[in-house]
Amino acid sequence: MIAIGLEGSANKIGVGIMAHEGPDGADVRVLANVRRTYITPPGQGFLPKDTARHHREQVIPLIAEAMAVAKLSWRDIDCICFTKGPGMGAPLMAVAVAARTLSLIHQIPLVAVNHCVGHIEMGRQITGAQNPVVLYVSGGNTQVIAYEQQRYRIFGETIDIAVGNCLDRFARIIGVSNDPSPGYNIEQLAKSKPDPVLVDLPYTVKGMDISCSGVLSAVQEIAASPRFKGDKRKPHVKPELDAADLCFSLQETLFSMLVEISERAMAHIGANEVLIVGGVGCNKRLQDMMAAMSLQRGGKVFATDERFCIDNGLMIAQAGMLAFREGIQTQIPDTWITQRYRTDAVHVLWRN
Amino acid sequence: MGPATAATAGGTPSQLRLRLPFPTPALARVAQQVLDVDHELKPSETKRTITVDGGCLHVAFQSITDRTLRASVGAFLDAVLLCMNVMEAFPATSDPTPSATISTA
Repeated sequence: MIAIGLEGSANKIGVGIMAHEGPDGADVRVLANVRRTYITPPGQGFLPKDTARHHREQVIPLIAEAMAVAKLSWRDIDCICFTKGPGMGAPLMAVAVAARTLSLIHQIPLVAVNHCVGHIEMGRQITGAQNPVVLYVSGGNTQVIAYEQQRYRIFGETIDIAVGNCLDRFARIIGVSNDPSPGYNIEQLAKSKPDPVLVDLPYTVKGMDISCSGVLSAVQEIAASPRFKGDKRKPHVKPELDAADLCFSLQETLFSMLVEISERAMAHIGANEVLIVGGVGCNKRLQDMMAAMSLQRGGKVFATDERFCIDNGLMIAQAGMLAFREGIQTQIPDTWITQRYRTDAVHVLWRN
Repeated sequence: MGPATAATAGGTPSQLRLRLPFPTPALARVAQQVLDVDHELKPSETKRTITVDGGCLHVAFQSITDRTLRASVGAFLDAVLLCMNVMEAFPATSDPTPSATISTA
């Protein structure tokens, strides 16, 4: 059984093709995984309208490329999976229009997929994690999730902006490049000094939840202060802090908060595995901090590399295929996109 | 894409009708099904109706202001263009017979 997955809920558009083979579909093969990123100049975020235009331009070449890489024709495809939400409205729409058109033209069933569930299922497949606490952390989402009774339950989450959004907006403030991603460039700066200064920032864990907006405001204030910008009255005196110090401090603070709420969920559930998914899950420092915590608890941490933790079409194909094999298809009138689609709204038929 | 017929009253509301001919009735029906799924973001401001007559897609917009009408029509035409481009890039290998109908998946 072969699925093609289309993902375009933020500034990345990806197409993935995956095969589930064998009697129970347990043999999973990646046939194609192609992706483009809409990159804006330093200091700018990506806006929905411009991002949607980028995705409309790229979706057809990407689909053609994926089919060519996989060496398939449309007769070989069993289902077309696309992101129903959550995400930005206009980019989601661009991808959904392409998916619906392909479905009707070639008479191939459609499966609408939740973006977060896509990350979780891809993470589970790639890492082999059985029943982990999932930390889903990206530019648009920050959630601590555990599976129970056919739902991915949200045990904790951000109560305002996502951790990745906080990092990306901080990158804008200090003018860090958005290529290949602002989060990656923050990570490189954070480890570029052997002895960086740890700046005191608000630590805003609230039970199982976290808040990032205060942290962002605090670091923004520091970035605008003489400690970072220097004193105009004393131009010869070097500022106390540089970009590496701020990047280091922001990472240490935000990631410690994430580790704490993940550990609290592990303790509550009695789990000994953590799976980190989402774009920020690429960050090695976050992985290291989470691994240190898991090790202390006698557990394990799982993470995927940048082929899979960053938004991609393959994760949508994977989650869509699991649903399709349980008989789930989405009729055309039900394939509307939604900017808000809670992780726990999905009925996880494919797990016990 | 065919000619657009605009009928705007002196004041509000703003209205616009589009007639979009497609190569075949089947493709027009595909386009209708693809484009009719998502509702206008603000139904209180803009109403949109899509119908098919043979090989033509007929779209009627009614909006409270010219600005909201322009935004809706612009977004809709972007979606139409993408739909048509996908049809052209990945055509069905066999042409539908005259009695064939495109069923929903």
